[in-house]
Amino acid sequence: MTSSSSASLDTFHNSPPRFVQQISRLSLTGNLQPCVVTLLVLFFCIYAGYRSGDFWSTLNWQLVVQPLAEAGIVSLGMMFVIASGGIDLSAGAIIGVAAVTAGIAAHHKLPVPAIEAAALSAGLLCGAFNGILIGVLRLSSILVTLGSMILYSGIAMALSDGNSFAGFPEGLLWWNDAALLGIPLEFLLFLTTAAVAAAFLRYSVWGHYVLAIGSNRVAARYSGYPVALTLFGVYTLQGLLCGMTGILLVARLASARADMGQGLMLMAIASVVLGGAPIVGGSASVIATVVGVAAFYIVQDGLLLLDVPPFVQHALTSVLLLASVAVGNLLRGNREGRR
Amino acid sequence: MNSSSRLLRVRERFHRHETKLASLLLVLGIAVAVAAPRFFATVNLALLARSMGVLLIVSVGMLNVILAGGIDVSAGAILAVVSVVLVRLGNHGLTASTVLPLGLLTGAALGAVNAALIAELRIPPIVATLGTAGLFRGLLLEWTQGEWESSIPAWLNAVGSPRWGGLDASVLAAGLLMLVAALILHRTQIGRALFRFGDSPLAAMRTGISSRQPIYFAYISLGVLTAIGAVFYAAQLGAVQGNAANGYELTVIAAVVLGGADILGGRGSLLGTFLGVLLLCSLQQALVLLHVAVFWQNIVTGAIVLLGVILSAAPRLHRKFVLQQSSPA
Amino acid sequence: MKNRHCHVLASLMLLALLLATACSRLPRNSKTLFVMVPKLVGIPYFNSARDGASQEASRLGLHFFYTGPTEADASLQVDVIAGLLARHPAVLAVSCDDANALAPVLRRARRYGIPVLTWDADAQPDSRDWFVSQVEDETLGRHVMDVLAEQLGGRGQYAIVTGSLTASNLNAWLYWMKKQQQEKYPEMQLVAVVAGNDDQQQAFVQAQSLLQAYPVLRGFIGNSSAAPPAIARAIEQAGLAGKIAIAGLSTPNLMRQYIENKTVKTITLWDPGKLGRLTAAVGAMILRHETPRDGMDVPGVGRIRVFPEARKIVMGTPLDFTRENIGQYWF
Repeated sequence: MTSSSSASLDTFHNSPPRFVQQISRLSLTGNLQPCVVTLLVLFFCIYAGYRSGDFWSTLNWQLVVQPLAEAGIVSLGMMFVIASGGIDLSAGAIIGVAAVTAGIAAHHKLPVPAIEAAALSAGLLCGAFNGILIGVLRLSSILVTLGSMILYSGIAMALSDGNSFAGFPEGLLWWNDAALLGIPLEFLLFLTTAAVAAAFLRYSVWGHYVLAIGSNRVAARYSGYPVALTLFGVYTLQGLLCGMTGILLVARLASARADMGQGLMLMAIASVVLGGAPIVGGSASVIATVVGVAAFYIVQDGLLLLDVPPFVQHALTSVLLLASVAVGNLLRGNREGRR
Repeated sequence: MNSSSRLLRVRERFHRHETKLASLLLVLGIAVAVAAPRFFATVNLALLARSMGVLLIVSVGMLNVILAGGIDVSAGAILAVVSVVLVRLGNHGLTASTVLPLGLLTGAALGAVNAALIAELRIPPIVATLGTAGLFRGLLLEWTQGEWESSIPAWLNAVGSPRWGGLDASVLAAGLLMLVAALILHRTQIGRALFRFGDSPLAAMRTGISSRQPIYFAYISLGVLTAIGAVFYAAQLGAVQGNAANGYELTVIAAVVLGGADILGGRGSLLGTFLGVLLLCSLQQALVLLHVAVFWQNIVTGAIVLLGVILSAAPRLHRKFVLQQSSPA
Repeated sequence: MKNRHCHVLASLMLLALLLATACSRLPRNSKTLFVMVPKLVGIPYFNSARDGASQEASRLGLHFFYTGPTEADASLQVDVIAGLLARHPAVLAVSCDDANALAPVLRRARRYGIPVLTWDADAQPDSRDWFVSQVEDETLGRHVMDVLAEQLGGRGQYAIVTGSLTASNLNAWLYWMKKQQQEKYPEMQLVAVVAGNDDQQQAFVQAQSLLQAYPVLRGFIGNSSAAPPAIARAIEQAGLAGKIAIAGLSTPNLMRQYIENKTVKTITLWDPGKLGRLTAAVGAMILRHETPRDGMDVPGVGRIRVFPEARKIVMGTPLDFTRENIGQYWF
């Protein structure tokens, strides 16, 4: 009887992953999901390329990487947020605020760097507001970002009066057309941001703190980690990245509207999850997130070229998400995946 | 000793979230009574009650899910699917006694899909329901091919018509369902299992509650309640479209959470949910009555939601900042 | 060990993606592919346009393809069109969610040699070859206001429920409606413009709230096909059927019950099927290198008006549906 009770006590204590071990590894523990997703997408690409001659054309890839880059930048921010154990429902609304701010700046004929700075600062401020409520006041992230989503979309609509801004200077629209060796600049910007994010995650103290907090907040606090400051940083960074995405969207669409970033919030969450990051936080991988974003956009583009009706496309990408997470779980031998 | 314990209970009640919410509502009510007294006209109050019906019914289901520690963002899609099923079958000539059970069954089945993904495949609730939302919505729109049903069977229309001084059947149904839910949540084993499982799944499992039962109950009940809500939704509107109720689930979650349910599970009350729904609906009505521009309505609603969130965390903050006690998380 | 394999695999995929963007292989050319993109798929108005266009396209020997975003979101629509460019269609016809947002991608299409038509809702004029419009914005706006004013006797408060607040064509019609009222019916007063966002439920709730907020409201305009039936329903439920005037734009099928029970006297639109047919016909003309001429008779459509400087084609005049004629229309 003694052995069984101590054994059950042991398992009880061992059930939550030991956060020290986990963060010291700083990578996904046995996460095969990006591999699963990559394989699925590769098979799909081969099939799509076979059925539709246009899939492997330069033009197609040049066109698909642009929205991919935009969603990717938001997904990187979302990756940090989810890694810290939270979620950000207001990402789309922040993009809208940033876009509208850029529109107002352009309306006042400010120079291009000023327009970009305005949009980035707007995103930063929105993210910082979230950060204060979630980091300092320690409110629940899903609730705060639900409220701030409604608030920010209202602000964006009020600022734009429901209209769309046009007449952006060439210097800003340059972001859309510029390309290096045929690869659109937006995509290269995304890759650069991803590299920087990976460096932050792996090699900086802050990245270490983020993963620790996501893994076990109580233990992190008792270990003396600056929880409030770190979380504030996470959400502010998310805001900044949303601001960046706003600028890219404005450049691509040559216009700014309050509802611009609407679908990107769900896309970002789905991408991070598709890449295999646990939604409860504690681990993150930039490559996995990039794989997730790429998978969604490539599959959508392929389905479009395969003449699949738009609603079935929607259903199929949802199935891709569910199937990948299920398979990833099974491979990981998931013990406690809840949130 | 008796009087001091009674005082303690009164103070406890005072600090409860529902009381704070009720006071917030009272303050708002007074403000509106001064600025737009027509809000309290019978006609308008009846309209308010009618607009709350569907939201309240679905919110009770969402409360179950949140109590169990989960979340469901596919409620809007389920609502749309069931309303289209109801109206299409009804328009094809099937009677109410056939169509209604079929509709409820559809809702239950969709809820069961969610539950299965979460309980069996261990997919996190937010991811699973995100996926099913896209799946259900995509399949629904593919089935309807974008055609709207612009007329509903007469019996459904009768359900949605205002009688009894401006109220309609949805108000009655909402009231009844809340009573039933209160009975189930507080008086039956399955209801209590829901609370315990949401509070700590590990502890619940060790005291003999299987992890399947609360999850299946929560999501299937949400499916069934959403189906009932769909009946009144279609009845009130008189038409259905495939892309109906887009984003509806966020409103429902906001209502439940404003009502004091803990998003992590294990805490929440029907009274709180009712107050949350009341707050959201009356806020919307009041803003229109006050001739507030559409843009500002969002800003005010968002600010109130944030205020509600801060209020509900106030005791924790009070302890942390004022009393300088280190409270974990 | 597993992690490293995982990362290697994922990095390889990224590399493949990068290389793919730089590799060269020309897209397949399709000489008869006519692609039609609505503002959003899944509403009856656009379904009718699709049906008309598809009939005419097959009659003219074109291969017809119809797709679009699942919501009336300009960025989604741009993504769809960008994806379609890779197929290099023979003609692209788009009903634009936002005149400004669609312009860059349409310009790109033209740069790739794909002729671009806009129909139903225009983009910036330099981004498309022709705009196939159903009616003149000014004619439509003024006419709808006339319909309402006639029922109100030229005076009283009215409100407008529009579709999406950022839709350029809806805003153009709003502008002319307001202008007509200000010029010809100064005793009427616009109290609010709210958005229904192509969702009957939202329009319904807005209409109900407006009825409460403005007790002396006498008329409504529903400016997008989802709004008028919802407004009619709200008025019926409030017991005010027949006492409050409703005018606006919607399809006969959606409004049939309200016109037959006299809640609504007149609803205005045009035949979206005809518009679709005209779009396909113009597309075929472009492929045959013909130029549309003013006053020419298009089979199945009628006489069209052509404005060569603005590169705009106008199908006709607004069509009113009343109790007398609604039986003839089934869309």
